[in-house]
Formats: sequence, structure tokens, C-alpha cells
Amino acid sequence: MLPLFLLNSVKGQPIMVELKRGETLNGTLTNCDSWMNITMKDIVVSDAHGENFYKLKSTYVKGIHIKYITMSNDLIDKFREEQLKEREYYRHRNNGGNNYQRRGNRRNYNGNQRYGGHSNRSQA
Amino acid sequence: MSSLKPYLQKNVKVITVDGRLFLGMLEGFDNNTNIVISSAKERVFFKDRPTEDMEMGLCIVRGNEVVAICDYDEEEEAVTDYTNIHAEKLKDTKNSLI
Repeated sequence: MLPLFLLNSVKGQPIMVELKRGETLNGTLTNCDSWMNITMKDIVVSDAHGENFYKLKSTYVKGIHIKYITMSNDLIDKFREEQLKEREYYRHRNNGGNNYQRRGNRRNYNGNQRYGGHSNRSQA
Repeated sequence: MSSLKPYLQKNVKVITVDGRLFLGMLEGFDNNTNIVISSAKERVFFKDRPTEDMEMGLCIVRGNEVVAICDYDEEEEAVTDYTNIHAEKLKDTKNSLI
């Protein structure tokens, strides 16, 4: 499980971010990218000593300033489920269901018109 | 190339650059050593108080915070009484002039 994949899948969920300086941000993740830059909304910020708190409507945090991100432990089961579903979907799309075209050589040599063969030959 | 693959789905301890200790199961990692640990706990040692474990849930630790990762034996961990082990806080890795 790639850390940034997980982060991507918890968009809209409450997370807690600790920054390098020790401040913590409690809020909802709205977006993130491959540099771990994140945007959050409805945040409560506390300083490194946990003494002062203030609220922010929304913020952007550059990934390089993040120490760690924590979230509910249940989210990992959700993430695994989603991943399984996705894998199932792609397997189904690639070779499950209608695998007519995948089973060997289906080129039309005997000129059966129904399957797009040479019309002149089938008429003869 | 050295890899964290043998540690996947194992219980690990992680030491970070600010001298903190995290425990949990290693669920994933990437090329920047960003790691995912589930059922994460931070273990805090004190000189005069019993050791505390703080539950943190699912945790993504940024790669440049990680110093060391080791796996540990769960059984051995369970019989160790950490409440009576006292220690000073680890120093961070920064080479400050003060």
C-alpha cells in the first residue's frame, strides 16, 4: 500500500496533521497531490505545547512541512475494500465477462458472412 | 538496493528525527520512505513517571522524518513491563549550536 494512494483515498475524512514545528492541525482533508501537499477545511490548530488553539476555515499545507498524518484506524479496511473492488473491476474488464475476442485466433478464414467474412466467397 | 519489503505486515518500531518512538504494523512504503503504519502508538518514556502509550490510529509518516525502522517480537513485547522502565527523551538528530 503506497502512502500517497492511501492519502488520496481518505479525501473528505477527518485527519490530524502534525507539522515539523510541532503544530497540529485537526480537520477534514479536501485534496492532496503527489508531493503530499494538502488542502484541508474546518481546522482546529494547536501550537506545539497544546496551549493555544484557533480555528481556520481552510488551509493549504506544503508537504515538506508535514511530520506525520494520522487518521482513524478503520480507514485501512475501507481502503483495502476499495482496492479489491477496483482490482476486480479491471480484471472483469480485461478478461472476465465477454472474453470472446481473447480466446485464441478468431480470424475469419472460412468466409462466414455473419462474422464478417468475404461476401463473394460465401455466396459461391 | 535495500528495501523495506521484508518488514511489510510486521510489527515495527520507528524512530523519527525528533527522537520519538512509534509502534505499529507496517502496511506500506514508497521510494521516499514515506510509511504507513496501522494501529500506531507513540511510546513516551519518562524519567520519573510510568511509560505511556498513545494510540494514534492509522498513521502516514513522512519519509524525511524516519531515522530507523525495526521489527520486533510481539510475544517478547507482551511480557516486557514497560511501566518500570525509565529513560530520558532521545535527542533529535539536528546538530544545534545551542
